[in-house]
Amino acid sequence: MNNDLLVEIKDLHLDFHTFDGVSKVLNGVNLKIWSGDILGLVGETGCGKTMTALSIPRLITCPPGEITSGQVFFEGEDVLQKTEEEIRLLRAKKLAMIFQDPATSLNPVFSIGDQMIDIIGSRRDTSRASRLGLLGAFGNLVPAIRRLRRAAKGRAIEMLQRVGIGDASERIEDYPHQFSGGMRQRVLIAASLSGTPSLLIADEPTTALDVSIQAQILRLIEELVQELNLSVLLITHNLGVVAKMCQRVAVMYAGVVVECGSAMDVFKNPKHPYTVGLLGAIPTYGTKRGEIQGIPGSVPNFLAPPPGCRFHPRCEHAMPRCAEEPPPAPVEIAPGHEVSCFLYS
Amino acid sequence: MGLRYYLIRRLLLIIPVLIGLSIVTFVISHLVPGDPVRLAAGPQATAEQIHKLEEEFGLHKPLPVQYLNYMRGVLRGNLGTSMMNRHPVAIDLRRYFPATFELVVMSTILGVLIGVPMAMAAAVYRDRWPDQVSRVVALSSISMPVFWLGMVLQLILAMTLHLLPISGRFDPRVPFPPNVTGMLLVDSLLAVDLHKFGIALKYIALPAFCQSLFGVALITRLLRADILEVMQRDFVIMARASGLPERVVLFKYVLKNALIATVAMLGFLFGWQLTGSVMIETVFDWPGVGLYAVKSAMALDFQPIMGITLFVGLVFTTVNLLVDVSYGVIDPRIRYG
Amino acid sequence: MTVSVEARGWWGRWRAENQGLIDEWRRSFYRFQQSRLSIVGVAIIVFLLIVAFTGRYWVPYPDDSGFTTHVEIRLQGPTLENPFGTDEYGRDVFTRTVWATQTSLIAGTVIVLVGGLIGIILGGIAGYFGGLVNEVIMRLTDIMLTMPGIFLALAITAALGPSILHAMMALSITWWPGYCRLVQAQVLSIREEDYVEAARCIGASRPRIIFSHILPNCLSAIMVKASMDFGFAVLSLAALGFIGVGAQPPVPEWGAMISKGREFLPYHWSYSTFPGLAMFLTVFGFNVLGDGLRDIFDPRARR
Repeated sequence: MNNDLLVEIKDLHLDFHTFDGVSKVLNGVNLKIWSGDILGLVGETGCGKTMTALSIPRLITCPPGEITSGQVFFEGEDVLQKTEEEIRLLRAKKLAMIFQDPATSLNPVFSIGDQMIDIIGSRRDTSRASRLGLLGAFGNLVPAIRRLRRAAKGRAIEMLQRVGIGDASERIEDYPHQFSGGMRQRVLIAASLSGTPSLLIADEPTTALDVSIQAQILRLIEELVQELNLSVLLITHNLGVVAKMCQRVAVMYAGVVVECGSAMDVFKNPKHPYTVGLLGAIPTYGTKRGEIQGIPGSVPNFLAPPPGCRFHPRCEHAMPRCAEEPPPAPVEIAPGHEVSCFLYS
Repeated sequence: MGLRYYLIRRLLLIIPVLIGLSIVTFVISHLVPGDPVRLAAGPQATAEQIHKLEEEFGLHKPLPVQYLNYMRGVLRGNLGTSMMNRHPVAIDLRRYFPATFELVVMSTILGVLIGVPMAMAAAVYRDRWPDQVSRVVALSSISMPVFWLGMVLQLILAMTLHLLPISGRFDPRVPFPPNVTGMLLVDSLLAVDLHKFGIALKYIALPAFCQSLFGVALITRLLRADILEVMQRDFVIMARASGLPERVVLFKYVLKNALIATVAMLGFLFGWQLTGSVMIETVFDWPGVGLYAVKSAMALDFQPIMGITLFVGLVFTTVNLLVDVSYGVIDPRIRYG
Repeated sequence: MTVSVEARGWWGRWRAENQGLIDEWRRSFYRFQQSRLSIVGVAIIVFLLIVAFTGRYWVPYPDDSGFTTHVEIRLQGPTLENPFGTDEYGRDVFTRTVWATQTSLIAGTVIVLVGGLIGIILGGIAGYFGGLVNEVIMRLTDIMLTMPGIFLALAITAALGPSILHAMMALSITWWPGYCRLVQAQVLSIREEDYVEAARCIGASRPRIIFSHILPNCLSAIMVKASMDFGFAVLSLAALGFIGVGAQPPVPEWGAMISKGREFLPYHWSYSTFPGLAMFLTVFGFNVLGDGLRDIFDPRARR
């Protein structure tokens, strides 16, 4: 873990305008990712993990979405202030994203070769990238584009072989629906890591896959991360995956990062009441029947969230100030271990 | 593999549909009251003349026999004879069809040329003024009585401003280009005669524009909805996340998916325009199947009615088949699925 | 859904039981209101309905809807006495246009209603019973759809004798296949839904299943189609009138008036222009309404 801060999200507030009202999806998210980190972002479905991740490449569609306050720094620059062009180059060159459902993440009407060439080709200036993409197969008629395409195709085949698709040079002409789920995820990994990204954002990369394939894909990701020296933001609700792969963990609840630290610290010494409850709810080998402890209450309604700290209705340590003041900024209770809770500030 | 089998099945299905069509048309055209013979013979006809006409057209035989005779003729290429003008229906159809076909194709092309950009603008600038304008344009286009609009445009552009010809298909003083397809635009291009091409273009401009409006409306609305729906899909987010320029995302990734439904609709559009040509041809004196159909219907001349119906039905089903084929070209899932 | 015991009377109880539905309607209505265009559409329709049903009482020259002639003022352009000008008999075009409104609106309604009813019943039977019945009905529908609609209506009307009644009948006959296909597809898919299966298991009788469960779910699609169809029906009727097989003189009808007025172009332009404008406005209003309805009912098109 170097001292280079790759990503810093400061007090990010995100609203979503729906027909039924304004959904306050992110309520002051603070997150830090250092260079070389593998950070796991965990939390229940709907707590805002994906939105947090999408804010880094600024992929949240605004209208309905609206970032009301906060900053998102990538390599020291505020992503929210950048121009369209700068963001596009950032996404192409520095960021790699893998999404949850490989079945829908690939365009069904183009061959994977076409799509990978487009992606690899987009790492250049916009006009050339546009021409490459829009001309498609006809680009072979223009010598300059033909060279680009050939180079891109070579790189694509190389990457496909790296992720374990053996007959890559034949399969590159195939369409997404001709691949199985696991293969499709490999293709997506190949596509996103075909450049030289600094950060890989993986949003539940194995949730949609069969259990047997999950392990393979995770291993593949691990290898590539080591090989390419990537920093990773791994989103998952599976604590087992976190324990296996991540050096650091951030726990989210209802739009706030409540606790963040090294995996060891957080799992052995959880400080935030939610984290305690979460870890306590996991049945272990010795748990006897009837002993599983859930967390009382339910997830708040984002349209009308409880005031102050959103966890306070379910928290057994709740104090009066938890309902009045907005959740506190993260406090460092041990080196590298931060908690956002009034118990500690 | 799958596509070939599907196509063969479709081709085979055309036959029973056409047979059914012929039966239904035959039944209807013979069941409705009205005496076409009397109409054809004229008010002064004597009983003997009428009798002779009836003999000539085999009207004394029982209906099923008439039907079978007719169908036997159809299989040989004989679509019967018109009672009005004594021409073989097949000859008349061959004379009139290219004009209608040309008109329908031009108006479909125009519809696409106008509709697709409007739909894209409406989708990309959703809820802003391009969207609102396209919505009003689309609704107006469907609501427009096509024959009235044609007339108004004739009035303003042709009769008053003299920018375009009033009616007809070609300048009566200029000979047609050598007949290859019967379509003036194509023939003049084949003969590399740009002067005649220009004339044909001027004459087809107004009728094609009026015809195209329905298509413009349909395409604008449907394509817009499809584009909006496709833009929500995961692979669009993935494409953006991979850093593809927005231009590529929109014109390549989104459009090809969104066009699938529009292509299907083109088949329906073609059929609709074939029937709508009746109005246009009347207003602009366009010598096509529509005009022929109207005259035959008014005269209850059932041989042309049968012939036209069968022919139009055949064209319609063929076009739908072509549309299904192009589906396979655009969407590879159907090809290999 | 628990119903409070104190709910007053059957109205209160119905409201409590159907709270979800009421909320949905309220939301739909709100959404409908939000579009300015939809409001314009409703305004146009209301205006038209008033004109159609009260027009006969306040038109300036009610006799002009019949055979009267005022040859001395024939074919005039718009003037103060005749805002839309006069026709070839000197009759006031404005009066005749307004008179024709009622005819067209009623005709359009009848066409869509009759055609729709036949189509819905046939489609419902086909979709519900499936099997051979379905095949037969759908093949018949396919055949009718392959036939050019206006052409068929033209043939029938010409055979029966030109008149507005025959035109309406002919158009109704060409109208039903569209509804048949729509309803059949809907019924087929709804029939497989779990809640229909559940109803059948509980022992609900067939008519109850059809009327309480299946039909209400088709309703929104039918309503959207019907509102768009109305405009087409009016246009088709006018088209037949234009060709000459619809309304016969002296009955005022937009299509017939436009057709007659063509003979006097370009100098006497008002005769053809104004009835067409009236027709355009009518159809436009109904299409806007239909569009607004579709925005509410079709989740895909929701903004």
